[in-house]
Amino acid sequence: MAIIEVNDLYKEYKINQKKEGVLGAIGNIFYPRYISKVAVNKINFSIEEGEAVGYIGANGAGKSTTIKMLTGILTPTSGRVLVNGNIPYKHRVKNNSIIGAVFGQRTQMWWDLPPIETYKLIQKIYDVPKKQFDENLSTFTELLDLKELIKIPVRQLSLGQKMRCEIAAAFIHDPKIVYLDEPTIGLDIMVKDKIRNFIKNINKKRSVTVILTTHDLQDIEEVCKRVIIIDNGQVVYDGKIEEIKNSLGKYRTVHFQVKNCSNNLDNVLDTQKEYLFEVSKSPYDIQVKFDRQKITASEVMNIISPYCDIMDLTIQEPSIESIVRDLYRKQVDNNDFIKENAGNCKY
Amino acid sequence: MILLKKMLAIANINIKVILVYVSAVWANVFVNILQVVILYYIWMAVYGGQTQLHGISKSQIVTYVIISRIIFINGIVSWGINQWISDIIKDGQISIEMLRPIDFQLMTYARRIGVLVFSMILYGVPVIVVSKILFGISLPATFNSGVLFIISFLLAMTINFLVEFFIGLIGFYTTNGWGLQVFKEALLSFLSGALIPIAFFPGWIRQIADFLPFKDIVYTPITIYLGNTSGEQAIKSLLFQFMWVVVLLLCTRIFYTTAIKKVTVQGG
Repeated sequence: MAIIEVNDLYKEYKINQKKEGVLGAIGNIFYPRYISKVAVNKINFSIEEGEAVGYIGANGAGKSTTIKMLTGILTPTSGRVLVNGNIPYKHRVKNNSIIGAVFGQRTQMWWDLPPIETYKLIQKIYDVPKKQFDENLSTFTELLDLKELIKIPVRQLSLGQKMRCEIAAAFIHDPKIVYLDEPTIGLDIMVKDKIRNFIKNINKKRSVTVILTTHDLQDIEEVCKRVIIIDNGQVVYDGKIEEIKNSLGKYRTVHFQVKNCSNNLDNVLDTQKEYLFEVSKSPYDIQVKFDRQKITASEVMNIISPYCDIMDLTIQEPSIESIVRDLYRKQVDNNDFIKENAGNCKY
Repeated sequence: MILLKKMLAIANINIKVILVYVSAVWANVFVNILQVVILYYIWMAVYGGQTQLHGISKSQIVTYVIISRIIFINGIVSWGINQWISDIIKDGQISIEMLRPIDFQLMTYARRIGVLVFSMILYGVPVIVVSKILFGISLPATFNSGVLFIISFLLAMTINFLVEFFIGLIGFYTTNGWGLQVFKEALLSFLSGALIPIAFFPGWIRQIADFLPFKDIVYTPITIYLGNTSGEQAIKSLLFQFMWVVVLLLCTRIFYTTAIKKVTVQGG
């Protein structure tokens, strides 16, 4: 049985529409007007124990709302969430004792005290056996390099240091599921790397289920095998990260630095339109996007080289970022978005 | 047992936070003493030549003022759990607090009672020592009143917590805690008997105060301490306090389950 099951989950916010001006503000006291906004629109998915799932979408797509319903902070308007057999917002304490969470912009640690105090509290309120706690603490201290940090008051830690301590706090009671809501926000590459490796390591070794939302797609690429993409409150993709890379990412872009271009080049590129799409062209720079299942990079070079002197070239793989951007731009049906997206690239 | 352990751990960590700010601790000790000294002279002026007013003697009023001040400063005027709840609603930190593996109300209770009892000892003991030297403060009237006082005091602190918790929940609807704190202070300082013993009020206000739970926060425990309420009367007072704990607990429980559904976490 899946550890997380989500059926037709729906959440609608009521927003008080404030009227302008003093009179409007007074009027608002007597006749508040509400408009409702759908944040999450009947989504479905299920997650197995031990999976690491990336949950991505643009700002305001409904990511955080979903996470908050999964953790039980928000009550859904309709639909069903089951986490380890419990309804999170009803069986709060039961659910809380098997989960850990990091919300990138908040801290669960006591601001005025060193992290170790929070860890000790966690040990007591989650009732973690002393031996297990000590083992976890020393493992995490090593993996995240916390030795010096855990005795400094939290308010004196830098953002990166704080986040490392925060991540440890979310895992230290051996939770079954950990929700990470933008854990790498605002961090430098080194810290990001440390955190990613840690999550990957714990996910694999202890088969902790990890749900990760982020705007940094490298986080997802490194940590998660599966990705759920949400847009406008709806799931637009749910599957393996490789699949989306393969199907949408069958395009490559070649950047040519050129000299002495012949005018015929335009005509030639035009005849190859089926599998060669010119992205941009200036006297010294040509970018060409091609379908690598139909044509190879050297063939592309052979087409262009008779008409130009090629000085230099680079081939670019599509980043997931650009794939997701394509998805964001066009809200399409889950089944045929690949087809549509392919058509979309020609212009 | 496990629950108690959890609650002690929560109380413990919040007490540690108080001790981080050493200079604030010293300032508080000083303010607590200063207030009692001022109040002592005010009440001496009120009594003038008289030895007894409304059934409270001049020496009793000294004790009354000292104990009520300790409860007042650390319980009622301090930014209690209501302020904390309003704050975490406002800045969205409530989402973190709702994820702790213990019932939210029990957690806040542990937090509040821990801090309350600790700060009353921390700030109360110096006040008592100084007042003993300067003005003389009487011990509980009898051994029994001492024991009953401790029970009554703990019930009083629980009532104080429940009132604060209730007011804090209003923050789910107003998202502003400061006005609520001012409201609480005004209401409680008057109706709890912290400012003036309830016996000094005119008849109709006394009747209103009798009808409400607030007098059980300050007035009831102190009258038991002084021996003005004793025997059967004291037991009856404790039962009334207990009844208010039950009533307020039910109210806050119902209010909490409704309010928590309304959570719309600010920011993100």
